[in-house]
Amino acid sequence: MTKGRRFLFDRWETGGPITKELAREINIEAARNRELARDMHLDLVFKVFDSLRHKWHDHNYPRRKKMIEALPAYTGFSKEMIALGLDAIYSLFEPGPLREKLQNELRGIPLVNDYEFRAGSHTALKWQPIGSVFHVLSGNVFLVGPSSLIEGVLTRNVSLLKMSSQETVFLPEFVESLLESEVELGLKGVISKSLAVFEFGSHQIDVIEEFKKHVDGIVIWGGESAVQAYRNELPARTRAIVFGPKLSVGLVLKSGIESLGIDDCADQLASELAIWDQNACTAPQICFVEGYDAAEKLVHTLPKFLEKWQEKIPAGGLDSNQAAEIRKLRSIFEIAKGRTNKQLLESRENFDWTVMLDTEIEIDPSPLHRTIKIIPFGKLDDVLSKIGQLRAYIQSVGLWASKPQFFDLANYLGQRGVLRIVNLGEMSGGGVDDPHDGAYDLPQLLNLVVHRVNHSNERIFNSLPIVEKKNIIDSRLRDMIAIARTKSVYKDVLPSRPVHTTEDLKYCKVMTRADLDYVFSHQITEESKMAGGFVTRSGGSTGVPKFSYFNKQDWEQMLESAVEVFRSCGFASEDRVANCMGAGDLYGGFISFSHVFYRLGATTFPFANIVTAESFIDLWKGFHLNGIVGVPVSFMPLLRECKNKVPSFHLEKIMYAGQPMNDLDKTWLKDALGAKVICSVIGTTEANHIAYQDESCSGLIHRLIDDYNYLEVVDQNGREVPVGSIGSILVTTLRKSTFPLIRYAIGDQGRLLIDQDGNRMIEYLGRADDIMAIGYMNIQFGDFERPLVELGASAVQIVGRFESGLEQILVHVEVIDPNSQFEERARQSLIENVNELAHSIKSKKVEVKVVSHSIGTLPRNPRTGKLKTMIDERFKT
Amino acid sequence: MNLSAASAISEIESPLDWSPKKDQLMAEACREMAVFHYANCNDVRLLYDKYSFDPNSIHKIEDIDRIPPIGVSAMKYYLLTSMPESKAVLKLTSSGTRGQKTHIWFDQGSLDRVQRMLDVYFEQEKMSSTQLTNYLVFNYDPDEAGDLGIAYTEKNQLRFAPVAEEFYAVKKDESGQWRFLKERAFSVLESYSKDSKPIRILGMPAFLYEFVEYCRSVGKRFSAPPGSLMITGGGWKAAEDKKVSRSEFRKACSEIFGIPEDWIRDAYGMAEHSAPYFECRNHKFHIAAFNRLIARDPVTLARVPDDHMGLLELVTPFNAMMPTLAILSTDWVVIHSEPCSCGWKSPTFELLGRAGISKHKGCAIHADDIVKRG
Repeated sequence: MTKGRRFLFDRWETGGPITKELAREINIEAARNRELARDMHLDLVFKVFDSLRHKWHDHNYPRRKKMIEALPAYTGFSKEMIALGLDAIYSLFEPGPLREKLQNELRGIPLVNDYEFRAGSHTALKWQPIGSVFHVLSGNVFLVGPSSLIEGVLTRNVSLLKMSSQETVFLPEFVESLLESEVELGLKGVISKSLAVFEFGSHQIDVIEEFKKHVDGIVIWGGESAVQAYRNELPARTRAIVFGPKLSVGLVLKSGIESLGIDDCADQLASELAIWDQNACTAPQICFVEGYDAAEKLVHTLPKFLEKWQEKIPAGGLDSNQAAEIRKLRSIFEIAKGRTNKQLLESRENFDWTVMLDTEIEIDPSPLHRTIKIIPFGKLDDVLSKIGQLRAYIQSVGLWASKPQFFDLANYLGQRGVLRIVNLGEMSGGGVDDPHDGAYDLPQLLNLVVHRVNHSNERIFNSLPIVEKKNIIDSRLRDMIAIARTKSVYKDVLPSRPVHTTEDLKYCKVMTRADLDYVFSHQITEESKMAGGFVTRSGGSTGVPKFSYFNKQDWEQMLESAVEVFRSCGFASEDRVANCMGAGDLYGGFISFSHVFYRLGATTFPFANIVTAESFIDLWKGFHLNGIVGVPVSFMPLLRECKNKVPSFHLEKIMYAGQPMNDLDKTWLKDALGAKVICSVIGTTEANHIAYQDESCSGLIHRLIDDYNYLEVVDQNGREVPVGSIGSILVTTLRKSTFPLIRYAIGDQGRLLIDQDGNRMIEYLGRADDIMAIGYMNIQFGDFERPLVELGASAVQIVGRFESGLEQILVHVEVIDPNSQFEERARQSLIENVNELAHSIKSKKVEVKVVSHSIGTLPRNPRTGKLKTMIDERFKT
Repeated sequence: MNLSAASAISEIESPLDWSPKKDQLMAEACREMAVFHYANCNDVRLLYDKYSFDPNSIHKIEDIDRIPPIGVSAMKYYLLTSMPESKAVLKLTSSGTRGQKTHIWFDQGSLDRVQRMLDVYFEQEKMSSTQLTNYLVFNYDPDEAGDLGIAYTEKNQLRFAPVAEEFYAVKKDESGQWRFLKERAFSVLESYSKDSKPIRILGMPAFLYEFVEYCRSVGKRFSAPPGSLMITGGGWKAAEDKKVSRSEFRKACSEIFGIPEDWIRDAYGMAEHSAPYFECRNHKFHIAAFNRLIARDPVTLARVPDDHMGLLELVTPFNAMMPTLAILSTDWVVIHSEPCSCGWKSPTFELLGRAGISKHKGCAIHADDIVKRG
């Protein structure tokens, strides 16, 4: 075993403890590599992590085998414990939970290349790494090194790891395997270039001072003396992140023994003592038990289970000082048991375990190595008071209590400074983001940077420099691609080459609805841990119903983005908005608009699409409604009726979705209702909002939301068309972890435009499948709708059918005053305005018939309130 | 109560020269004492029974290895006695540097035995004198120290040369706080230096080192008359904190006081054990024939080979009042196999510090880490 090795960013050296001069060089190189670390791509990091964990999980991995043989001599743990520790690498480095850790600890606020936009306060937030972080590792558990490394890397800091003098073998071996993974993946240096691993002695004050002077943060794992040595006289600007010293205790209540049994209690306690031979700070060092009899019972039950765990995970070797401490304790209890009701049970030939029954309610740390005092108590307050005296030292309390008592007591313990209250048996486990010292780890390694601009409601993203926008989009795209790559069902969608920027999107296949259905049906079973959120279904206005799933995190991110959009559209917290979006049968429109308005702070009136003019007017009068959101074909008849009934009826803000609104209706809303804000939000079931109109937009032109859903406009071969050209719209979701869409063809057409600030916009041209081949023509809905709107049509529906053996285009039109004269005028207008229609009629290829209806009388989709624009009845049987 | 062997071994001549005869006498003394404590102390009975040890089975010197030792730590929690309190003629307490104080009681017979052990030790080391001597003691004034063991020990050393004058440099002030009277000690030593009588400087290294530093700062060196002697005893911690080795300390004292290094001796004693140990002229601690030190493996309690570090067990058969026949300390020791060039035919030992106060490896807490809050 080569000892005395150190790794410095890209090279190995030998020579044991570093000197002050070398420390200075390391600091200089660390400063040089800060930018490199900051620009680390986390998806690449996770690739390396994933490779690493699989290597160490493989029982034939030579390095694993080598460590199982070597580490017992250096760490004092048995081979079985070493193997168990190495197995933990598999879960420790698992990308999924680490992504969750990032999300949870950083509260969804992005790192480095991205921002969290807070519309209400015109604030953008992002985390930035603090720079170079010096990690002082402890020697109790050899996984401390990899754990600390993970946090350094996730936060994109340069990580300088000082090995414990007691354990300088595993970490170099681990770094070797990291380098192996990097090379195998073609990612040489992606992590290692920001990493140094070395050793020096705690007496080398000059080296310590050198690091204190130059690093940006120090992570200190260890006892009081280690913490003091590094924290004292640390420059004020340098952050100290302290992990330790900590102590954990067990607490067994009568209710726990009654409901869960003494054997199980002893088994769980024995397991806690066996894992890491009690060396982890999460291991109980004392166990308080309610009542002397129960404590005595536990003392006599525990040895059986300690022996059981001894077979499973044999105790390791003993440090002579630790042995002396155990000997000392045993010698006290040897005398005590003859004089008092204290007891001593011990493994006679060795120190594999020692159990003592003590009667003094004190928290004296154990010499460890499966050595525990069981202390009975009568009054819980006596124990709580002792725990209170040690506030800030108590890491975990392993509780054995009935469920109601658990939560009651957990609260008291928390008030006395206990950081983790878990069931006995779960102390050594825990979540990857369980705080060690009462605060999330990652934020301590980062600076939270605030940008605040106070000039308009415009989305902050739109105000950013183009380069910054691009960084955000690309960063989110990388995250999304990385997530998709973790799901096998995306393997046909994604190219084998990396997708780093939107320019690389062209290498991805265009996803169709069939692809998405495949993904959904195959993946939904794997998403058994459906993490909250909503499953929705499309309205069916465009064909077969489509499901979509947004988990809690996706939903939160949707809300975060949409609130900003709505504010940008002109809505505010003081608004009172009627939500007339369709609801029911999994239609998502109603629920998502409700949530967005709620998050915005507005008062919402959840009508859905079932509302009469009378009730609407009552609410308008009673609550001073000033806004409405819904589908135009659904709410326009309602608003007209309200105006008819109450001439003073007015409404300030109108948001519509689902279908376009014609100019005639817009004019009416302005003139008749005095509307100041009339805006459109375009969304899809699968991706949610993709475009919107603010006050600067008119007609079909919408602003894009590229930081949430990235849009491309492409030709039939999936190639991007030039700006200004019409093509099919593809959406790539950037904030959706479940079923991300990658170049998903939503079935609509549009044309990209660029505004004077370089922001991308889209002219939204509606459904690409609003085309019907009839009468030897490809008719487009828009071609029919436009001339009819000019004549006062509020809604239009085209039906293709056969009439007396001839193909007929039956056009239903909703107008204020339906009559035959209108129908004739409308027919004439269509013949004059729709290309080739006159010719087709003349050549008897097709006939056109217009039927007028009162506004709101054509049948709507009962869930969405939408009117189907084109119906082809010719293929009906 | 027949403790004739115990008495005989305590007054044996030249205790620093071992012989088979002395070994045998030591074994017999230990048997007497083990049998006595087994019969008179319940704690001992339970302990011996636990390890199936028959005190009558001690026949030869090797047998004392089998005596189950009592942990010194247990003595800090419990007062272990083999006689009623009424028999105690002297009660002392340990300094309790780590919190708990141990109470040490002596009945008259035991006190006599341990005093005789000191006598023969001093005689062999030629530290006994009939010349009138001036004493400067860097320790607590025994008139104010009550039952503090170390104060008694220092006072006790005044019987090895008749006292001309004595001065204790650590006294209580009006508020009852101990004060180190450095300047007064300086004046006393100045006056002793003007006298032709030998000087004996006794006391704790921490006070002495401070005094030496003070003398250095004022540029004063003394010249002690021939026959002067310095005996130190007690904790080294304060001096060690200043990174001063024992030999540097000795050299500095020799320079300041004018006493040859040969006659500057350190003493080792543990209150619970109470038997004496002094450095020889080569500054090695020897194990006298009436004592045995055993280096033990802390886990198996097996004797570790000479020249290897082990947990220190101390054996001495003088105390019938308390079962201190064999006690297991919390110190590391190494027993040297190589004979000392001083000429005494007994093994030497070296203390290697406290056991169990290891630097803790991780973030799990150590007792020393805790600062309790109200």
